[in-house]
Amino acid sequence: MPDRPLPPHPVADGRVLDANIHLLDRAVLDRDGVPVLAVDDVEIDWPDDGGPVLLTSLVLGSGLTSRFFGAHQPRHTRLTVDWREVVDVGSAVQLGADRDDLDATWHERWLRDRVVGRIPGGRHDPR
Amino acid sequence: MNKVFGVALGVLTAIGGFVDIGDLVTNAVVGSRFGMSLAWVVVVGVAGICVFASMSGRVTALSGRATFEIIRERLGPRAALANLVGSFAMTFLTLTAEIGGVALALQLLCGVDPRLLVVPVGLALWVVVWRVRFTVMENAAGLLGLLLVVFLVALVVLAPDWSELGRQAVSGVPSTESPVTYCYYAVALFGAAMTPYEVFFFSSGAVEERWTRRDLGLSRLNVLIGFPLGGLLSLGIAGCAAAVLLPAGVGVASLSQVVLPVATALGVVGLVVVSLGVLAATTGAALETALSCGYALAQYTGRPWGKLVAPIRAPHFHVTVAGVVLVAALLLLTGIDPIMVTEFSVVFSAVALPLTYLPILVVANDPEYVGDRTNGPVLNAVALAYLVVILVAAVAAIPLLVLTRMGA
Repeated sequence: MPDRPLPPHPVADGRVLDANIHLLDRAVLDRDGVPVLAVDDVEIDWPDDGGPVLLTSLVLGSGLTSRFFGAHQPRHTRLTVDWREVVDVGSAVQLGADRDDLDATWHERWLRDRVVGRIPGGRHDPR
Repeated sequence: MNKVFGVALGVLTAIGGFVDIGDLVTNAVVGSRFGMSLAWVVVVGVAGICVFASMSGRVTALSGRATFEIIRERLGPRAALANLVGSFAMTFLTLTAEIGGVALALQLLCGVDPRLLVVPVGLALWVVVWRVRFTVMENAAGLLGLLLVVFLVALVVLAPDWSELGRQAVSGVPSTESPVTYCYYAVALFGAAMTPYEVFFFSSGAVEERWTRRDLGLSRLNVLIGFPLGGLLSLGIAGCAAAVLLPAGVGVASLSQVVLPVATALGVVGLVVVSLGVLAATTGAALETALSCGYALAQYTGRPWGKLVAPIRAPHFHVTVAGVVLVAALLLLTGIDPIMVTEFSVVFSAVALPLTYLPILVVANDPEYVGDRTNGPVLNAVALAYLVVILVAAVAAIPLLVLTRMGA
């Protein structure tokens, strides 16, 4: 993170969100309201030319260790969801996408297809 | 009619969740050594679990969010991780004790070596989690767990000297025991009454049963009938031990001594009924603790969880639950004594209490979660007083465990 101070808060129409309070550690739901993962971290684009600071994506399911220990995780190893996918921020962050289309849930698909789905009854809907 | 049925079933849910192997053993041990002189701790503990379970029920019904999601949002990822590690370990230890309890109850019923039963019991628990619908599971365990009312029947049949039991209840430390041991068992009883998994399970179960604002009354009724009834059963267990085991100088070292007073009072029929009751209560608690491990981990990471969806829709959750059941069964195969694991787990759960109950209190005052139904000043004052008691118990638990060499 650059050492220069944060730019002043832009006075703009719309809702002001505090990344710490409204985004970090919140649950993320997909378009059907199914939980995806929690927001482990956020990616912020911080242009050197002094242009506007932009929140570009949410880090899901992979950013906790670097947040705890301060390491800089290489970008390509982070599992992210683009901010454009976010349709609403309430007591949870709502996405417009289907959770199965997201890169961030790949291990879950692996566990589902290779382990849980192969055990008899794994596909049985209890309702 | 449906509504009455719903309330009845919900009440059973809470009873099934309260009296587990920890309560059975701790209350019997205490009754056989201290008579009714620690009965006040059960009353304090039941009131405490009512205060916090009703808050978490309200938060869940209004926001649809279960306890552990809230713990992470409010305490941040580090403190929540500390809490997760602590409560996961305690819940796992309790699960181990409950599976051992199921095996011991089966031994009472059919005489088979409990170690042979551990693996089949674990497998059966997994099948229930994998396949059986949530409400069916809860109501079967709760309904059969009601058989434990036989402890109260036995106490009446035994016709103890009620004035003597009453005198014990207000007499403080008995002359035969040291004050430090007394405090140790006070903390153990308090921990057994307020185990954190009860709140995880209660709030997650509320999500599984799709509670909404309309179910606020149901939530309150669950708490106010279920937990006090569980407390009454606990007192019945302690009373039976105080009436039969204390005068005979018998110490409680196994489950057969816990149920001995019932057999004395009601004979073979009583023994069968109480064994079935213990079987149901420990099975219910084993399921609740196994699910609670899955709930806590999934809610911390934000993954899908629960039995409302097919296992393939919540794969991490099901792998976690199956994993903890497997490891607990393997641990019991090494021959460790489930009764000892039980005593450890109730004392250690006292340590994990503050980190669980503080965030619930904070969120129950946050309009973002509960709208206009925030805590009133009286409830907040009571809850804060409880947090002080919980903190004292948590700090004292480990030193007391060491000082008394586990209450020896």
